[in-house]
Amino acid sequence: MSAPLLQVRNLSVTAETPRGAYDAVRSVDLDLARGEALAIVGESGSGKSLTALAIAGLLGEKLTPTGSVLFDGTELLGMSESRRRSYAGRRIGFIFQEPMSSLHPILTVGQQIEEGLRAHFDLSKKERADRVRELLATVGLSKTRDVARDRIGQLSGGMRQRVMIAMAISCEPELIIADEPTTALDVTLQRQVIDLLASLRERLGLALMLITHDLGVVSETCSQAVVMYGGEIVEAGPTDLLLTEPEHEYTRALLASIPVLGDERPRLPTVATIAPSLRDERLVAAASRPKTETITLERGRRVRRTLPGGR
Amino acid sequence: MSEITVSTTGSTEEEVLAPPTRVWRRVLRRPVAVIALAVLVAMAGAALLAPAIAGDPNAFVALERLKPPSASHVFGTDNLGRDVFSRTVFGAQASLTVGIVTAAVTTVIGAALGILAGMFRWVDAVIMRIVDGVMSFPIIVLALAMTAILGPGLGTVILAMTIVFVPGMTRVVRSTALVASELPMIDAARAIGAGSVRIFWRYVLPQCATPVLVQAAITFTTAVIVESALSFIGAGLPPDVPSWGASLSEARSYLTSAPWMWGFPGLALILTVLAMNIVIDSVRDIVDPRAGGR
Amino acid sequence: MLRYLGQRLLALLPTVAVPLVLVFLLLRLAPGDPAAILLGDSATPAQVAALREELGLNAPLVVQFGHFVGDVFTLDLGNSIFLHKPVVDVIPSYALVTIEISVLALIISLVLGIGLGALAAFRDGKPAGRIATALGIVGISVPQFVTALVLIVVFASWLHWFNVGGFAPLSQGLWPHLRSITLPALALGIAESAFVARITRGAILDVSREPFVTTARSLGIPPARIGAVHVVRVAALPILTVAGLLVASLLSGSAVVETIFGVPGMGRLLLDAVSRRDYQLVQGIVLFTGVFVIVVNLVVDLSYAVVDPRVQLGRKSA
Repeated sequence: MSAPLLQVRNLSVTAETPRGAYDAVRSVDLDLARGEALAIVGESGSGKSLTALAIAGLLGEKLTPTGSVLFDGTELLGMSESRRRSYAGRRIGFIFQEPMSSLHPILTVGQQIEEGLRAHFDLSKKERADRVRELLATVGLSKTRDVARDRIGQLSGGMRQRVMIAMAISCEPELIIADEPTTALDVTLQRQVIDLLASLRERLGLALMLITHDLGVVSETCSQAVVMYGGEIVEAGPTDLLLTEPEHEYTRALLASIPVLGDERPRLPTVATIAPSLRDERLVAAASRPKTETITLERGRRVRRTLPGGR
Repeated sequence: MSEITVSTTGSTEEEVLAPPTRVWRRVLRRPVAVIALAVLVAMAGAALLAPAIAGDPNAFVALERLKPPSASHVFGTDNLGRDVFSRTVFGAQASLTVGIVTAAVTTVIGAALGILAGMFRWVDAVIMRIVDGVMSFPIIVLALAMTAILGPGLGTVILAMTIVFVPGMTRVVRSTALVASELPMIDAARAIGAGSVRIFWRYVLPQCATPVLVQAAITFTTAVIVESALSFIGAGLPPDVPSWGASLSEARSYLTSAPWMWGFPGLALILTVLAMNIVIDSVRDIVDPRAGGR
Repeated sequence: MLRYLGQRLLALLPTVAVPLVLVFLLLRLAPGDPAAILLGDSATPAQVAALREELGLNAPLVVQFGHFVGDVFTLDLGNSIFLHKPVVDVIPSYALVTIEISVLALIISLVLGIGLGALAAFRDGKPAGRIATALGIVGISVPQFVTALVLIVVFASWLHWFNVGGFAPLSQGLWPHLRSITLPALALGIAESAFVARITRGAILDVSREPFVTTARSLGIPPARIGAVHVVRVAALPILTVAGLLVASLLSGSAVVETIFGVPGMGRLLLDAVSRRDYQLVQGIVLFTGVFVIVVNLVVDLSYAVVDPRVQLGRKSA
């Protein structure tokens, strides 16, 4: 078995707040093989986006990652900025959640994609323009010449997300991290984007890390999944096992809360949790968290168990 | 002279919701702001206590002309033998009074117009057109033109400044009222049966406090600067009233020979405006922690 | 494009209309007989009556206003009482001087201000940035005329690079002319640059926090390019807005600065007209100023459309 493309060990992200340092992400371990798809599932505030940003080296100031992120054998954390840039886009691509604000409001679509190409390739003007149209066609857009000249404000939501995807794959990365790519879209568009991602994966052999809270998408696209809550991984393993035989109570509650057609109960089950927020002034102090350990089950499943008496 | 008379981005929810008392407390935690406030208090105190702490600003002794600072004349004397310290302190009285009165009048009128504009669509269209137009007109030109017709003096100066500053306040109040009226709390108030007037009085108006206070402070600083410029060219306060602008004007022939003549009033003017600007910046920083530059 | 310009023109009309109406009303509603005021204290009742007839002051206010507007459009702005010349003949040469100084001052303030502001933004938190930020807030607290006085002390008295008070018109040669407008322009320009610096700093810092900057980073684009291409395009908009506001401030300031340096510009002309109660001239200057401000604002609006093409489509920018 070849070494995984991405190997994350003990990744933590510490946030500096006016009230002191706070671990927003704690001890995350995960592996991703070439061409494989892994989902990170959790509710808002579970730390899934921060984990993704930490792996991609895109954390803002006041957020410090610690631990180890090995990409193709090279340690990404602590890399110099210029080395990080050689990896960004070229080896790891990122799809952001909200294309309206994550794309430049004034530059044209073509100009924006070319910016990425310029950073990594030495192409002539014509070559760049051709590549832009090629990419736009790959993500399923027609009339590529017109789209390349448009600004994002002139495009529909679905088109914008496709442009976002085109940018992410423009420099031929090996891994794509997609942060809730379908959350801002309506259901039909969601379908299209998921299908697009799946076909791109197949054609380009991409590894995919998909951040989402939509369990339906997870079951379709990803072979491995990781469930996060409160900044920690509470359960991890192959998707089929996770969804059919969840071990952790949180995973069970999540699954139970999915509404089912024909369900006649008067109240839908909910997950009774309060995810600590980075902005919450009543921060959960380390001492009040229960002590836990991770146990490994069959087929590489891992579950976090609370130690008896540990609080 | 060019401090923008209105924030370029309009009110945000955070701005509107920040109650003055809480903002105040957080401002007091910043050392620079505290120093600035102390300077302002000192200026105001000097202005109020002027007759007590300084001699007659108009008393001149011909033999004592252009004397550098000494024990008997802490800031020196000017070209007519008048005590510069006294003139500076009484100048504070004049400038601060003009600043405060202009800010107050502007706030009242601007708030009234802003509320009307916020409440009635057609009034809004008419008022905002006129208001936006006047904002762009150079204030000193307008003030001079009015001086020509109405005669120089305190009233004319305040009137001219008010006309140009009211648009800024109107915009702030209007946009604040609009933002405040969209808050969920208003829907909640309606749901429990509160009428429009009550909603306005108890829910919308109190929320406007912070942005209005900030705008009033900005008006104050601009008024102080404009008044001093007008007094400098002789079109502001009457010549018998000591003011910083007039002191600076009198010093024009003695710039290097008697630098205390313009140094102290100039410094007083700059410090007052600077102190207020620092306080304004601190408040804005707290209310909207995104980078400044509004 | 034309429609956009037309809309903007309509929106800017109050800038000249309101002050002009104000002056018109003040003259007729202020205590005292306008004709008597115009002629001065030494006029006889017969002269006053004659002037009243001539100026149509006995007609209803509305009719007077109608005449007034008509006169404005035919550029009949009356005669200057003291200079005994039509107002439209007097203004241009003075206006030219003021425009020269204002343009020079604008360039200085933009170059200095954007430079300082960018420094403050890109070195935010570091010593250079803090100093630049501090300079910004101190700068806006110093009135233009104080800056002018300081410049005189430094450049005229100490360094003797410039003279104060000797204005050389173009007819005396380009170089002497330039020398005589440099200090006034510097005084105005430096004073306004602090304001530009603050806006620039704020705009750059705000834009740098936008999500699309993170996207650019995710593609490995070098920070220099992100700053120069991605950030600047969006940050330029508030800075452009400010340039428009600056002009009003510069015109205001030139009234004061021209007095200090003895330069024969519109500001000086206005001051003299005011002290001599030359109402027609004052009116004419108010009109000219309003029109000038409108023209400048239209130019700024046009530049908006160039920098941010979304504007032309009728969309709100940023």
